[in-house]
Amino acid sequence: MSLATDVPAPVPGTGSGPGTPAAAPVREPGLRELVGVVTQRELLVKLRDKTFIGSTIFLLLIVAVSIVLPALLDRGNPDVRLASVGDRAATVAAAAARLGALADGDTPGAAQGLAPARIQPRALPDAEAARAAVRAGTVDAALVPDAAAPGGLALVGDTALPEPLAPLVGAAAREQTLGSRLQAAGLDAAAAGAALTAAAGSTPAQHLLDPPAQDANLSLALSLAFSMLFFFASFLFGMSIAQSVVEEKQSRVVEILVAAVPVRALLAGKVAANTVLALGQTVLLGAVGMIGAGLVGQGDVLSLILRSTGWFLVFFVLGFTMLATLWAACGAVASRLEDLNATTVPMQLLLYLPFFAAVYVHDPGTLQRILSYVPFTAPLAMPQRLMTGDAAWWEALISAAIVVVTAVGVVGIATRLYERNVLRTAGRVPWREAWNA
Amino acid sequence: MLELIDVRRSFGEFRALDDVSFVVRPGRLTGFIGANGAGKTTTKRIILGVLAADSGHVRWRGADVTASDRRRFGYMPEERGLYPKMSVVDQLVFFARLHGVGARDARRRAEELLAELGLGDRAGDKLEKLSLGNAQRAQVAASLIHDPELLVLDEPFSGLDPMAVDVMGAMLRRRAAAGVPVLFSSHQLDLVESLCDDVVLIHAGRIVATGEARDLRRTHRPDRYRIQLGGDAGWLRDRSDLQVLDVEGPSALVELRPGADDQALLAAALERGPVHAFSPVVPTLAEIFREVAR
Repeated sequence: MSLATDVPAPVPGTGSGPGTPAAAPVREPGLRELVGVVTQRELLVKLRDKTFIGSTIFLLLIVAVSIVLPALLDRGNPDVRLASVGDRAATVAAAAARLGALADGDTPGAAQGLAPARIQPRALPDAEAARAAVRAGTVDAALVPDAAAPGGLALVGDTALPEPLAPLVGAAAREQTLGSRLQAAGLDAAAAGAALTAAAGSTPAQHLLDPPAQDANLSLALSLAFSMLFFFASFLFGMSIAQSVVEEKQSRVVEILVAAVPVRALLAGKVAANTVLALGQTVLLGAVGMIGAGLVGQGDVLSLILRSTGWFLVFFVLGFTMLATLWAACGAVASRLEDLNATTVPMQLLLYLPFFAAVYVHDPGTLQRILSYVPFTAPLAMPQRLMTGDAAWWEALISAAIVVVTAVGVVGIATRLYERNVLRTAGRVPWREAWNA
Repeated sequence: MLELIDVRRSFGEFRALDDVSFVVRPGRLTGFIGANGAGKTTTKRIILGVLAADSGHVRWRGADVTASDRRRFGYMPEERGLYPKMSVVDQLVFFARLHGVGARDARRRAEELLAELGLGDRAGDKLEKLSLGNAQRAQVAASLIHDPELLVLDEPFSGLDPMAVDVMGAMLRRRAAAGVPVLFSSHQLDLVESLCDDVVLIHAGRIVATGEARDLRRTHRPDRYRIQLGGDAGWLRDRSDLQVLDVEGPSALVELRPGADDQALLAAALERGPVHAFSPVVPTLAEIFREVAR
């Protein structure tokens, strides 16, 4: 039999029993503090998770490469191999090469208004050989005497002519013809050259009264990138919320948690941590993208990103938190990780459908305007409209308010599902039962 | 003191707890015994507020228990579980902080507690790397990390080797000695018997016996005697005031019928020759348990 004693004795490591002084007073933690402790744990676990670190680095690399690589490939002027047949063609080809090297679009002079190209001329014995070389791909184009117009020249390509070539060759041919005519008319070589330069310099400069605010393709690409960022962040971090809920159910730790902490604090902590992580990762990706764009000299991309990012982040946070609690509810009705495939189907639909709608409806119009006010598509469609200059700031505010109101309702639904099911560890709970439990 | 008064709980048609009442006194270890499905886990969940009672009261120190009272309770649930991928010390700190212990205190306490439980050198290991016994100790540590004012433990001894059982037993006793009421369930009834001051016996959702373990054994004693005679004990079979449960040569185990006089039996035995032993048999908890659970 045990030796029961009613005399409390001080014991190291225990303090708050009645009659013994507490080692360190245990305060009553407030709800906010509890949420903070839960958030901190979720953050630490995720930030130490090798898979998470690895996937973040991988994403960063993809963004960096996709920004820097095209710029690197684009750098420098296109090389064009141009075959010539006969003396006149050889002279014109040489002149075109000289103009291509001079040209940079705007500089006044002989090559004004022309696009640059590195033309490598090469003489071939006859037109047959030149055509064969074009067909074989050993040259990109050939300049041959024109059979239809005696004394004229023909530029021969295979399926298409290299972009800047025809204007350069045309300018060179005109220059060459004019030059010889001027000299034949009595001008000396220097005067003829000056006249030619003056003629080229008289090419009218181009001005648009209403130039587009930015490159339409660029803003489309960027809004696509934003949509994808939202889609992937919502999906990955939403899944991570659901997993973390199931893991607590599966490991049964939830019973200890619920005995100590209000269920709402648990839910709020998880959502807060994953929102911070999702936003953090997105900002990091955006920053790498901007630094990349700055480094490769795409200043227009940079300024467009800077101008559009604010609203994107606002809608990102609103849209993400609207869905985050629902992800937790999907976790709560599952009892094992494998169940998540089935229980997250509604969430996948809530993400996929708006994503594809926003991607396909990218042209300004009634449909896009409607989508920008529907709660689940608004986080995608409204930033798009703002970026193309189709929506005013007050429209964005209204749309944001709609998302906030929806989010409040969704949080209510999700909290009920979470609270009523987080302790049910015996198998997957059907939705109807989960709601009525 | 923790009091349960007429606590009822049903799941659909099934009444899991029917007017459950008992007390857990400070400074004492109370064993909670009952067959699987008798209602032990439901009772504990209701004490901890994880589950609500349909009716009845749970009272702590004389008043209905509140959420903030419960935050100072320590709980080790039936189905074990901590975070598999977190280090032992990190999760203890986490649980301490959920109970309102400051971050620095939490770490210090976690380290002290792990040392006390002989787990000090595994503090940094992830839980999934621990052996079953060590994981069990970590689980107990999680329920003790905030110096709880009441301890409720489900099967704290299961899965422990005999040495770990001693460590655990001593630790629970120290908590009880410090004035903490301790309620724990166990199927190892010999352990309950050697460790507990009080016993609560539950069967099919009803409390069938409660009180000091010693009294319980005495009051639940059928009138049984072990008798050792000088000669053959076979004559005992002929007496109508008793039933012979076992006889082998000079020794016998008999149960007196209600109202029978043990002194008359002893006198009769002495008439026939020497009596070497005539001792009442106190049943073990296991025997009481089997009897009420029948």
